[in-house]
Amino acid sequence: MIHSALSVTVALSFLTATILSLLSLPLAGWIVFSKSSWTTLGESILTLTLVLPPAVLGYLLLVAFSPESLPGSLMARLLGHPLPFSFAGLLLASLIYSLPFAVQPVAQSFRQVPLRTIEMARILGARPFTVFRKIVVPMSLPGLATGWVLGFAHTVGEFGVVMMVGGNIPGETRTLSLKAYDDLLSMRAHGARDSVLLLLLFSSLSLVALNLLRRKGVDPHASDAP
Amino acid sequence: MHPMPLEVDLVLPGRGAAPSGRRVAFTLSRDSGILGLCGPSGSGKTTLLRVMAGLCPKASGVVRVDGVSWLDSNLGTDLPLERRPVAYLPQGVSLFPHMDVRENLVFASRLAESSDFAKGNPPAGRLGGFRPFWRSGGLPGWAQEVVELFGVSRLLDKRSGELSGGQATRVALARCFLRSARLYLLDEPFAGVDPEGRAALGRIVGGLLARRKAMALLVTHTPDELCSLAFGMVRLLPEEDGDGSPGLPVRPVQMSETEAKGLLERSGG
Repeated sequence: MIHSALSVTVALSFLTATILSLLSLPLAGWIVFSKSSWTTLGESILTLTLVLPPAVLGYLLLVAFSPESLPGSLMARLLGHPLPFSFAGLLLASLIYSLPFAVQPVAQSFRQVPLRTIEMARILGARPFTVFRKIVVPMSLPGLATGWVLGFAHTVGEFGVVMMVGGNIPGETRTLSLKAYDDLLSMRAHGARDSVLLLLLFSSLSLVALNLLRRKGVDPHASDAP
Repeated sequence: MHPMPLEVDLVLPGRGAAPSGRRVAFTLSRDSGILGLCGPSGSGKTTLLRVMAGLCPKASGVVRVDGVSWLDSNLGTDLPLERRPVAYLPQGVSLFPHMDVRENLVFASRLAESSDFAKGNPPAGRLGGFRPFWRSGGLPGWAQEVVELFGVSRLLDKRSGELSGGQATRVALARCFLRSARLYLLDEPFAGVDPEGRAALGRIVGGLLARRKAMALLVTHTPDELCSLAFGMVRLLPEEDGDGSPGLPVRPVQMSETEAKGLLERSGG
């Protein structure tokens, strides 16, 4: 039982963190480097899920994903089954819910790339996309890794959205945190304890990784100091 | 009649919001060689170079090279950086910290090959220049020559953080000269190099410029070292000098058209 919950949790968190890391490159790039005034609005929408109660977000996503709505019906036709109460629906919800956690660290490290360095690449004749690819992204690797770890950790622990959108189906959408809750309600203290210990292990590992990354994150910019 | 190789007539933008309205004007009638640029700190040397490189959007005036307007604020001309055949070496070391020396030079030489002004360099070609993105490849042959000229072949495998000040200066110079340009803007290019090294580097730069038929504007705080290198000197006056009235909005910088020409005739004639 705990194996299926564990594998659902790991698969969901791994996919969420990885997809978000890829998405964070264009998103953070746009927020940090675009001169458009829409970036403020974009950034607010990105951080919206930080302050939105998970139950509210879950409800909104259920409404949006329902086969009666336009996006929901399109996705249902694409996947062959309705989004709510499926792994794909859960993944999509997690992506939206964990988005700011993965994007913010990347945006932060993009901002820390010295303007001098970017300008130097422009002087040597690099076009903006080349500057982004060869200078900005390589100098932001610690930030990207931090975003991945935060996205992973945050998805491992999420409860409200998973509950609303996933529907707690064993082997498909039941994650560790849902299993811990279930076990506790049905007085299976051992099962709950195991799930909680596993969740604790994930959090500790993430914490260690984040600390290592923070120490490393100082490095590439330090050598630029005159 | 041939157009003047270099004509500059600018009103330098001030620091911050206030336009300082300092006028700088000089012309260069020689096709290649080094023109020195000196003046105390804050007199606008770096600003002048940035305007000429196309990095300063607030500039007004005229910059014309071989009769082509790079900047003409009356006509609204302001060529972007990548369309000016210019190479700019900013003050202070600016190597990319996440690359080693070789990667820094390879990066610059790839960009030089793809630039619009890659005369002299063998063109990479659309397909010939293709290489998988995970392999940056080595330095092309023509770049190797420049690298050896500046004596940085031994440093190729060092991280940019491991270089001494003088070594980093040499690498930055080599990287700048990988780009083939009509005008080189060098902001204290020999900083951190000992006097003998400076003289040697000066000769290398002079030789390269002569071979490439290119001009250079070289900022220095020690005009003496320029005597053997440059054929003329432009001197910027400080923003607040004692003899003028400080409240004057427009402060024409005494700039040396005559001075430069005089020097030019002495050394060139």
